[in-house]
Amino acid sequence: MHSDLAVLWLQVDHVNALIRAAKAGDCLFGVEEIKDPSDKLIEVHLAVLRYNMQSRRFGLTAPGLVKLRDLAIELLEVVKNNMPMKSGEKNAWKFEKAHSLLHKVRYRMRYRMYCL
Amino acid sequence: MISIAIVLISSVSPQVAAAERNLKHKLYPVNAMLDIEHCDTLQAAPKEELHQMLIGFYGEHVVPATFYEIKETLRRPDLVLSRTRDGAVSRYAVPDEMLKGAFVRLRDRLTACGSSDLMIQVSPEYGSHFLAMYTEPDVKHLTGDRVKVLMLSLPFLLRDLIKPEVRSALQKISYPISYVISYAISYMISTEAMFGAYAL
Repeated sequence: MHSDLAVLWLQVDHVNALIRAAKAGDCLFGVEEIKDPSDKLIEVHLAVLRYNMQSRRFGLTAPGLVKLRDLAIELLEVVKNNMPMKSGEKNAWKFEKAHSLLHKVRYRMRYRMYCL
Repeated sequence: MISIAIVLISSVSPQVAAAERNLKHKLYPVNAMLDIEHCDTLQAAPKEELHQMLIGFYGEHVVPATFYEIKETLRRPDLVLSRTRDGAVSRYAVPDEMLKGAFVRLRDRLTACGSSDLMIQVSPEYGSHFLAMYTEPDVKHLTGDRVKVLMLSLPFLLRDLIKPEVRSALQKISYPISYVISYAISYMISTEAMFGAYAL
């Protein structure tokens, strides 16, 4: 039961306890402790959700379109800051699908998916 | 264009019209997307929500990046217990089972989502598929609607995943005793909430 608890609940604490207990000569001696990344991950996922909800609205007026553009910019910034390596690549967020978030407003105006 | 042509055919063909009357439904219903005014549906299609956002961006890049970030945190290159003589890692500080435990926990949280309280129902099969898709290299299929379920739920499931946010005051007590006490407290809270709901 104790090992189950450690597996499911305490990964960060487990590693930091090992680092603190390490003695001179151990591989973990003097290594920087790790931090839980959940705050920055949740920030990204919430930015995605905010952008998606705004982009799904029907009958957006000018302020709504401006907000959508701002949310797209914010989303890309958050993604680049909080997940800079994406899945292990450099310049990882430079691809068409990510960039086209910025053009969502243009598409909506082009196809008249807004209200005057 | 094809749908419009089919509609025209069905409107002029007496056989089709008779069959539609007999069946009491349209054999060739009009695609509502083609009725959007000033919209070239086919040209707009690659930029719509499903392919651009749900599958193209979120499911394909943001969720894997989340897994990567958690894995990199626990498997930082210097978090090693021992190395071989040639420098290769022989023991990580976080063994494979413990690493997998974080993602299994995420899967379990996902499958605990029920429609009665979260308005999203996730089946155990979907949870297993989600875990396999993002941890095994060969599984690569998730539909847009299923990605939408992830988008709605993941922001609220990532907290506490590899580190408890709030420490229990019972932590110093041995595990079986603290488990019984916390279970009893949660039972009392749920019972009280239940009776409170009936009282309303």
